[in-house]
Amino acid sequence: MKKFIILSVVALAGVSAALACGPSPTPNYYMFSVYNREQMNDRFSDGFFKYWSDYTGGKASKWDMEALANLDPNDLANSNNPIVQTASARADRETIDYLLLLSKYMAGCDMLDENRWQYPTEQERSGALRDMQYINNRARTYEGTRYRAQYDLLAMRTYMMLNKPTAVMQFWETEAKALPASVYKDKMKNIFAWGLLNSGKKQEACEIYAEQGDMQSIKWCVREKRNLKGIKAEYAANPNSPTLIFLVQDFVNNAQETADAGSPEVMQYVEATSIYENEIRQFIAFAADVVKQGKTKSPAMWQAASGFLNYMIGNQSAALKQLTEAQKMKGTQRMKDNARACYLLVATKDAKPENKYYDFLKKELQWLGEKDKEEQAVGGDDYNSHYAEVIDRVTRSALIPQFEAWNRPEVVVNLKAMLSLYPHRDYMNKSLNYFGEEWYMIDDLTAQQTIDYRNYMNSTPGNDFERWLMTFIDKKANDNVLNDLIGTKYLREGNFDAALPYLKQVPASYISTLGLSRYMARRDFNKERWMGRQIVDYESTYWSGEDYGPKQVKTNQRLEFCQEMIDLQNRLATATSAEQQAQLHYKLASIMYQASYKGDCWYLTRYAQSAYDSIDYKNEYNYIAQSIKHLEATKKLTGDFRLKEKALYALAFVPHGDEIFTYTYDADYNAIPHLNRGSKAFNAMNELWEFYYANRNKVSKFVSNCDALIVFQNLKGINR
Amino acid sequence: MRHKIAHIVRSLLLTSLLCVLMPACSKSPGEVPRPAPAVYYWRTVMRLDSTERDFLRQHGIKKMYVRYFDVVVKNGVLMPNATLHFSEPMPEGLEIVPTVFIMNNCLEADTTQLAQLLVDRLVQMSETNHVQGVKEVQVDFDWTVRNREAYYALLERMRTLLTARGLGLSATIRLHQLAMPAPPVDYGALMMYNTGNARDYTCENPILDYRDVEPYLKHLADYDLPLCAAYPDFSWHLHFRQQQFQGTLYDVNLNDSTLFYRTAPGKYLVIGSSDLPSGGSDDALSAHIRAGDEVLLRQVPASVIVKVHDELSRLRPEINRQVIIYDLDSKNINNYQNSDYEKIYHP
Repeated sequence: MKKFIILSVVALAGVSAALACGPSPTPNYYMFSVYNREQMNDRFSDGFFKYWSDYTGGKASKWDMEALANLDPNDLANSNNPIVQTASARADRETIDYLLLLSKYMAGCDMLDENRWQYPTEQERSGALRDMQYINNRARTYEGTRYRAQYDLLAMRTYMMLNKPTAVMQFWETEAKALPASVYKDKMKNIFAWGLLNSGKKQEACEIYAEQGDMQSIKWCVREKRNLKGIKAEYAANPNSPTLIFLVQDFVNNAQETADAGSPEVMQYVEATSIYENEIRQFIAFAADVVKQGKTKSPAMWQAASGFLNYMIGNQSAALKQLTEAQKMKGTQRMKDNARACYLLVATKDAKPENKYYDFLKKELQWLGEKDKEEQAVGGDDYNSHYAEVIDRVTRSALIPQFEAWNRPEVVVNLKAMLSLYPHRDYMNKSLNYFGEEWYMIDDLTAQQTIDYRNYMNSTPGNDFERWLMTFIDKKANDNVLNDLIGTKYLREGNFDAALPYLKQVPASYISTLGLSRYMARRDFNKERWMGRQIVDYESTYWSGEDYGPKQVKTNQRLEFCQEMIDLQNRLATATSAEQQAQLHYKLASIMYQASYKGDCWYLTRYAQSAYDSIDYKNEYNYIAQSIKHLEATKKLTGDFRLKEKALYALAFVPHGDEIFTYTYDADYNAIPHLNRGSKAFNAMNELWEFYYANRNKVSKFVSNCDALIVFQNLKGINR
Repeated sequence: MRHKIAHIVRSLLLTSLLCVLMPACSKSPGEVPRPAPAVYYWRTVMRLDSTERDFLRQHGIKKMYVRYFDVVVKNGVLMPNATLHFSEPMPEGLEIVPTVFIMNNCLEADTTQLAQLLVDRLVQMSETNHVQGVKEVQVDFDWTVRNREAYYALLERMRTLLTARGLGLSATIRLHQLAMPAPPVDYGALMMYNTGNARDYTCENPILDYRDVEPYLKHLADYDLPLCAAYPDFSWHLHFRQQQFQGTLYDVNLNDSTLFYRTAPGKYLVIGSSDLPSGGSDDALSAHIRAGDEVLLRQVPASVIVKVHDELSRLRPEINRQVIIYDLDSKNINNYQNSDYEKIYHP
């Protein structure tokens, strides 16, 4: 048993790594978004950095900006900070003065930071506070114009560090408010909101946070108003309160998520649906009042919210009408775009497969792609735009199910390819590849469906939408991919004659680009699996820094396996002697087992392997059952002691669909094995044991030393 | 005869040995220094409201264990976190015990300097903020067999440094730690809370359940360290999704009928999605609840606390000479009656 146990552990070690590569859960992005959220992405810091980047001609990094805190005022000449170097090289006294004051401020903030190991002494703390006061005085008495905004910001920041909210508010009103628009002024307004908040003027503070899109602050500010009651109260106080933008968006998003999350069982448990739906209906009625009253400057937002909520409760025509109207109403461009994006999702429902609909889909998806590019350009590299999320949500929740229902798997593959590439991931190549979203789809197709897909890709569909979707796949780049896929699928289906012409077209150089080549290069399907595992990934190599990428293969083993199968089957059909047949049956059993999902050479019939695998592809050939059939034939036909011994041993090794041992646990959770006497696995092991018992002096070591057999014998003895 | 003499000699030797050993066997581990009714203060801002001040007065609290900061691993380096901000001076007439909470993974980082950093910081925080009369500091860390050696070495180093400054050292002790050798400190505060598994949906009382306590009590009488006992006054709102623990919610209003539906005593079904304030790290200050989730209210009945208190007294009479309530917070104080507190502070 030990041998089998150890092998299981090694297999599992491989699985844990493989599982991480599996498909991730489907995201459920929010559809309703009226904030320009790209502008909330670290906007202040990005804005400050832009100044220094421009000043240094792109030499300064963000880190250099932050490192100004460590500036030594007495050693500026030796500073390696590009910002200081640039100012020094230009003899720019005004900038150097500002940098010194900024540096002093940053050092003071560091001293007053309560979460550092060196907790300040009373003297250090009062010194830092004195510095803050000094910086404040200097900032307020700056007489130049070039750094006016920066000095004013320093004045407000130091007031905040000195915990003087009243002074912050006064400074804003008398000085900063009149400055021209800039990131510094925005930051000052943010600090002004802090002053308001700390002077008991929470409502006004919240409005600034909402206006600035400061999500963390706004969430905290309105945490008690995040329901219809709160929205009504806010509207009553000020129909154009900026916090309403947050509250309305929040309400619609939470309603969407409630619908996404609430399983029918849970919702049935109480009248939750009616409770929540009731609030949605009340919101819709309230939004109609808001639009009718005409006090809001953003009817587009209210009408779109109402439209999307109508869609959620099944009022399709009202939803379409309101979302159309919203696009023409007053409001920000974002609000109108939001209505248009929501309209797309709503319009997919009940749509028919006709050209009018296809044209609409293409136009709207292309528009979303353009919007995504715009937002992405502002948001930066690590930013995920709202419009990319809308494309994702519409495609996954509406289009893919729709085209599946219309029995168009080829369009579904291309929709998934679009999700992998579109709209802003065009750096990826357009070949079908294992990392693409579409792979999971195309991997599930049968060989014939894959041929149909290839034919489809070589045709010209009758509508613009499908032709446009095709542009996400590079047909030329996929010849090898598709030949390999079709050939492999035919192998998986046990149709070797059909597989051969496709596999013949796949060069070893292509196989060498696949991750599975790592295994193909090191394993041989001619070795019997039951005589030992061909281990590629030892546990120790996980930490060895070894490259886990593809490896060069000299030949395409899939083709060799296919040819071998055809050859063996032909020879078996024509073999006349029982011994010759037995030999051929054994060989077939061995290589078929290796090609199964349990074999070392699983890559002959699949692209990945995990411990959770089973016969789970459509039309999949049961290689394990076939292997058992051939082993049984070997056993019956052979008169050769060694061949019979190997066949019996193999039969005891291969899975029969039931377990030979069952386990109970003692008080210390030690597993206690018991024999499952009614199982096929028991019969196979028992047959091997009988053989061993009758031939104890003749059997090979792999039988006499088989630990599973020893456990079996012990249990059998005990249970006798 | 020779045998008889040998027997007498052996008996004498044995008797002498017993005389030497007996005092050791019967030696009491001693008592907590300056025992007094006490509380833990575990917030990030030092500011007491009238309910909390009344509580201190009403129950004659003389000692307050104040969490000064946590130690966490940030970017692989040990750092102080959530440092207490002294918004007002410490209340007068109380002995303050500066306390530090060390997160579980901290001892996997480089701890060479940690003892010095901790002692310096605890002392400096007291000095800077005029906390008078500090006599000891306390360390709170949930050690296990795996990191016990490293933790005890840290305590040894701290103790040496503190002794040089004339300060004592205590540590929190969790029930499961009673089975291990005692840490090198002056005394331990035995935490009679968090006894169950809050992450377990089926655990009805993870805060304190006598059934969870009972298996550990066999170690109590012989535990070789002076002990006092700490009892809970807090409750938990535990957030579950498909019976999987998501986190603890703070400031949650279970009476909000647009979000919660009471399905059983202490059990609420979430019927609308929303963000709510949450406990946990600074990075996760809000929790997202979704329709279908559940919120379980967990609170220990006063009778259970009293039962545990009395059982501890029976097994180790001096342990309740100092009782600490966790924690001083008006939100928690009102979970129990004054008379309940008196039963454990002044039985």
